[in-house]
Amino acid sequence: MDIDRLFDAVYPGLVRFGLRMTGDVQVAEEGARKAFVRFLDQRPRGDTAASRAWLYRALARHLEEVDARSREAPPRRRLPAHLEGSGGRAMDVRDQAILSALATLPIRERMVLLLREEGLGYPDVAEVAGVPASGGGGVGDLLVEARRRFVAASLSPGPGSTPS
Amino acid sequence: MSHQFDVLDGLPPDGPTDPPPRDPEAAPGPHPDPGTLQAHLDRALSTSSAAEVEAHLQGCAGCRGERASLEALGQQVRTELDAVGLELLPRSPGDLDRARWEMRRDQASAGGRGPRRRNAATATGLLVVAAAIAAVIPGSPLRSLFTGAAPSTGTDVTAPPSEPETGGGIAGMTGVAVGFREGRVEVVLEDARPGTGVELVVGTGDRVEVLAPEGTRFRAAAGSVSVELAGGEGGVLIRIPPGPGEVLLRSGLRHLARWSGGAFQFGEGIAADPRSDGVLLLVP
Repeated sequence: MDIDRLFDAVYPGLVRFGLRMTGDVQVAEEGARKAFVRFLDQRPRGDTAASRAWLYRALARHLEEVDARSREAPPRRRLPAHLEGSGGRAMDVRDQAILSALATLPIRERMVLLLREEGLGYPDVAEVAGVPASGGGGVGDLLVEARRRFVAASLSPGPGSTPS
Repeated sequence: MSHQFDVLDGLPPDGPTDPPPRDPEAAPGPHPDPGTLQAHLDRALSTSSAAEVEAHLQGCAGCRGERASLEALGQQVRTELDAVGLELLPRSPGDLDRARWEMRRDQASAGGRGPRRRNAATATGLLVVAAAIAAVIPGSPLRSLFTGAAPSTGTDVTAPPSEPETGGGIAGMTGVAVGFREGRVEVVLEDARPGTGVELVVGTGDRVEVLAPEGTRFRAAAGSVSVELAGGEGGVLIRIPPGPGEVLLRSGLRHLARWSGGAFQFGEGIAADPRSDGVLLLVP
């Protein structure tokens, strides 16, 4: 497998997924690189689609660890990551509002929503997010719930907004 | 009998809704729940389940309305998300080159399994060389990372391909880039000590780039580079352009490796460690 080609094809999506999951582009980039480092170390067998799903799985595990660490940290660190900066790069108010809305979702719902946006199929989404592929509490259910919550949260005024 | 969904401004209801009334004669089977309808929209149901849902939808206007709401919801979410952080995401070839280099740096820092772990120290040193190659070789898309200069497109090498270029400007590193002569470039390591690491990377561009620690002396001409490492020590990185050109690597008179036809061949007794985009070998 051509690693460079795989990197060019998958890395931007991994960073996008990580950014939307965490609101922090540095965490996203670091996680995406770690996923590739693990991939190069373990060299899992499979075609490009399987490799892509493997990489998203590796990144998801990393982000779960980051999420768990942030919950164990003192309250100050529980702020949404994007509020602590985005690698010194500008993020506009609208982006921050969207990422804040995403951050209100439970992590499984957020993961299912964003993995589907990345184009992963239900079996891969189910495996990465650790949920059933079908039936009650499955990918379809979580996807609908996550979308509804996200839209509701993105329409509601944020804590820093002023009433008009 | 009629029923109505709480659809406001094209949005679906926030909470669960009562299932629409059922007309058993018109719509066979139970009303599919929203998750099942979503899976149907995403073509994620089995053939038999999809057929059942489709048959139900044919006769149930309420569920068709629910399906339309789910479609609209998905489109709305996609529209919201598509614009997020566009300026932060890697998009250009230069962005990807930088990310790839950072990933290799992480890989070297993490070590690896098998032969890679044994060569981790050598690899780390070579990554420093790889970092510098971006800065000292004109035309490298990574140049701006280390020099602060605007990135080049990778095709704006100013010197004609037949003339070698020497790099400089980065403390501790030096390099040279040469074009092919009659389809071939020969790189010769002079007096390299056993264990000297040489990484051959298949990259981009149209020249063979050779990087080594400062103090290395190069004698370069179109088609050939002689590398004399200071004290015989230090790693060497050779970046090979893709394409039909042939690159030969020798240490003194000993044949180490040959790149030709898109593949590496190695001299007798040379053990090469495959890398993500090339090989790492040690001078015997």
